Amino acid sequence: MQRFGLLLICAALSAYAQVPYQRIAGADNNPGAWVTYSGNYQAQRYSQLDQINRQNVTQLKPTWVYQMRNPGIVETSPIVADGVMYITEPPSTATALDLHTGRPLWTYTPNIPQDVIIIGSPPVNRGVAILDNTVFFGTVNCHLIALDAKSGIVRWDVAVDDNKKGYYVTGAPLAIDRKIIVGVSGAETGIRGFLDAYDAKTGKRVWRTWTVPGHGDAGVESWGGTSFQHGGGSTWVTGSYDPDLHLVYWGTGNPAPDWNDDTRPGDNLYTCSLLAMDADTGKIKWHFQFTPHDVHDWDATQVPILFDADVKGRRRKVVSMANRNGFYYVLDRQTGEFLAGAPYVKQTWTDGLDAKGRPFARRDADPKVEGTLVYPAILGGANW
Amino acid sequence: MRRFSGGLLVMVLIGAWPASAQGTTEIEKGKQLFLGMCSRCHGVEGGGGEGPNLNRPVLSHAPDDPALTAVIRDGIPDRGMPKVRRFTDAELHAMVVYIRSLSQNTAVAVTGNLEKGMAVYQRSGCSSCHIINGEGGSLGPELTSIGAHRAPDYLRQAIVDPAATLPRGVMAFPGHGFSEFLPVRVVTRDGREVRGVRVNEDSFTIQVRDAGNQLYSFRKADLQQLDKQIGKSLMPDYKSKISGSDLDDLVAYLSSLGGAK
Repeated sequence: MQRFGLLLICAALSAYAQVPYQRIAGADNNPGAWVTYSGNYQAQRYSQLDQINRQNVTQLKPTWVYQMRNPGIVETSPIVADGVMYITEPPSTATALDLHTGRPLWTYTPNIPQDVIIIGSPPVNRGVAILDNTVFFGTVNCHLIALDAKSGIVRWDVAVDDNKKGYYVTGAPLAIDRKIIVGVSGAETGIRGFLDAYDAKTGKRVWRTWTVPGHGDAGVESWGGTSFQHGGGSTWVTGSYDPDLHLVYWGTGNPAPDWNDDTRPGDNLYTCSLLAMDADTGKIKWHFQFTPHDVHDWDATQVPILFDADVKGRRRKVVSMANRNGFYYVLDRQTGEFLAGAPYVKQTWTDGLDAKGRPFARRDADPKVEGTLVYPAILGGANW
Repeated sequence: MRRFSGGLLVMVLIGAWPASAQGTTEIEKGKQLFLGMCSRCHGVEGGGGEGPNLNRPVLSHAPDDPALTAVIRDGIPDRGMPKVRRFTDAELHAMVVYIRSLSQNTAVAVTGNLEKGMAVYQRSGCSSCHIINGEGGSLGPELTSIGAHRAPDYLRQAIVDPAATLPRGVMAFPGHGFSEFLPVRVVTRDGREVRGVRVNEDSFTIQVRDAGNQLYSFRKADLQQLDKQIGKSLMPDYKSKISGSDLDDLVAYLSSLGGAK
């Protein structure tokens, strides 16, 4: 009898979803939680909580401290739901902490091969995604792993791509309805970049969108010769999502090789761009390239922020980005139309933008053996 | 004195059978070390217990002798295998020789049928609280690779008398050195009662998961009562429900679970 009762409870539990899709879509209604990388699908990173304010911010005191177990750079954006904080620790550990005490509830570290290839960034991780009762995170050996949110036990573990080719994962995945979207790092090793979507329940890949076109694809003519095969265009910062338009917005990284452009004449699509993709198929609906033929390593891997605004007397759905190239951009997020762009830091690499937002790039600002002084610096006006 | 006579004995043995006795001596030496440092978890003659049995030809963490040497030397900290102490190369070699010899001594007696055991697992509702290969409920311990970590006798006991086999914490945290899945009963000052298993604890706080897999975090100062039900388990015992050949089959099935390599 006792056993029967326990079984009933367990059965009921499996039906109970901790963070269903609807809860993420309505994240603004639940300001006490932080259920997706940038706070809400619009990636606005704004907390409505007002307990901490300008008057009392100087009086903050630590309540608890959690000691990361490995030395390294911590870039995680904590996910918070139902009294638990989910973090990642460098290089590829996921950990759940009790929100009240900081005590660990579980931790999971996959086996990372000794000869893992991590070139282009330190071995970091920017956090987990949560959907229903499952937590998702990527690893430096380019796996995507789903863990039970209560226990940290593995639900599935898939290889996103081959780490031997330089692919690895540092960004937090994005959970949308029944899908987990994850990008890759590795443009410094000459990967051909992509963005993937996986079935949240099974780990099966639903779509892959290459950020660099292949043979016969539109845009491949923007690459000299076969340079597209190792064109870079990583996807290492979590994008945003418009549930109404059903579009995923994601920035892409530098072309490869980054400072040396000898092998890659042309605009090098779709590197240093913002892509708007259909959430069901991954098909690119529009793209906007901020830095055509980049030679400064100015990845467009900033968070694309979605909001509605009056532009010249008309209400528009827009997306904005503080780009690494020193310009702040506002685009129509339905069409990709350039609406506004202006430098927000000192910049010396262009003579401004044309009417469509394309920069008048100054070729005398290109890297030279003897050195070129250029603003912004290598990490750009804003990094991720 | 004992040490001296032991050394003398070894010298005599070497003198008597120079070639084959070298191996025998190594085995004896390895056995002494094993009994003192390994048998508590791996069982006398490697029969297993809380740790996996080692009297089998293929060891999952030690496919070859260099790997076995490394496991003995460094431990497998996140699996509960400690780095016991610093060994000399000679000691390491002796233990490797001894452990390799075990697979020739005794085969593990697992008599059940693992396909039938899988059916027993499924119809007994085990998966409502245990995960195998990502499927199942997460209240109890994961069993995906349980056969690589626990010996058959331990698994058998865990089914008929779960409270006797509460695993010690093997992770660096949480729960290092604790019994994992220890049942607790908590009554708050305002009279709320929570029954569940301990997830983590320090001097001032305790974290508990209840049978519905809900997490609670308490400051002990806020509690009227905190009972640690040592010797109990939240898992019901299956003594009267799974027995005879069903039990053999279930043990065979669980023992076969070696996890993804």
